[in-house]
Amino acid sequence: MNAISYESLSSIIRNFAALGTAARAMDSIETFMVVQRATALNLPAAALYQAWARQDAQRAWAREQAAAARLQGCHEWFAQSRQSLTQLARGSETWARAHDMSQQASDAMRQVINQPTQWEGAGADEQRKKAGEQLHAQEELTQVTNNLQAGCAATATVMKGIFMQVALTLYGNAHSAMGSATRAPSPATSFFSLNTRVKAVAKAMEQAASDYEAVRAGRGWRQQSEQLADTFTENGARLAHLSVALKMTMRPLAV
Amino acid sequence: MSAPIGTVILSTPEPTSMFGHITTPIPAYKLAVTNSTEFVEQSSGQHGLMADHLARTALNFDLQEETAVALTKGMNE
Repeated sequence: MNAISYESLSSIIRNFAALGTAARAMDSIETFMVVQRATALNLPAAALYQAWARQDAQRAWAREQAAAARLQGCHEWFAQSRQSLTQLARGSETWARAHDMSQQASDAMRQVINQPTQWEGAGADEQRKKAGEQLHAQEELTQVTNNLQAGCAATATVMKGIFMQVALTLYGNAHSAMGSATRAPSPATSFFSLNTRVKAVAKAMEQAASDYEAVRAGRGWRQQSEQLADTFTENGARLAHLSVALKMTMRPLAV
Repeated sequence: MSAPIGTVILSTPEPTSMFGHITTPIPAYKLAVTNSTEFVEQSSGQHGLMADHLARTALNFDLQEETAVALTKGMNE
């Protein structure tokens, strides 16, 4: 199986719907066979049963269609995350690169500062202090870029979890209905257990739709999203403080 | 050194496409990007300022040294 994606989820939904259509076709063949048999045997009230079977089939199909619409609704909502997995990976890379560059800048600054110098003139201590503060700021940026990278990676983990949850419920429910939905039609079926294939698909779809709706309502990500927001806020604030601090330190000297 | 970091940070994907349905962190993420680019811009500006200070101080030091040499020249001869 390929890596999980929005498109792969769409294809499970399409297969699920196709299963419903196949189930409906076989249910109607079965009903036809059962009614034919009853008519041939001159069973009483065969016409009444036929009418009842038709209504039952319509109700079952309506249930299946309603569940399919619920699934589709959730899936359209989830379309907004269509690009998320690839984009989060790119975002994560961005911060990883910024982190590397900041690390290199820190190293270069540290080398300059630690270089032995003969210069002991007036202001040397002051300059070293300022350079040290600047190095500290650069190191802070190094840490923050690292944390932001981790934040993107953590968001990707949450997002992957959601994709996985949706895939499992769709695939699991479609698969569980498959056995009963694709049974060969039998003329020996009781009048009172017609349309069982569509009913099985409808039930499985309803289960999948409930799960998907729970995801839409926030299962598996709502709480985490607050924590992720906090991570970004916290790290952004560290840099804002630093910008202010740096401005104070770097006020021009009277030369 | 710092300016390329700013360019890299600005190459981050559009937050709405990254976070998708997880919308809560989007404003915080945007702010983090703004703060970091501001910080990078500012600190790179200050690298320049710092270099300027150092150059001026060094020049000042050289001038003093030359003056000192000039003053003491007569004493050594």
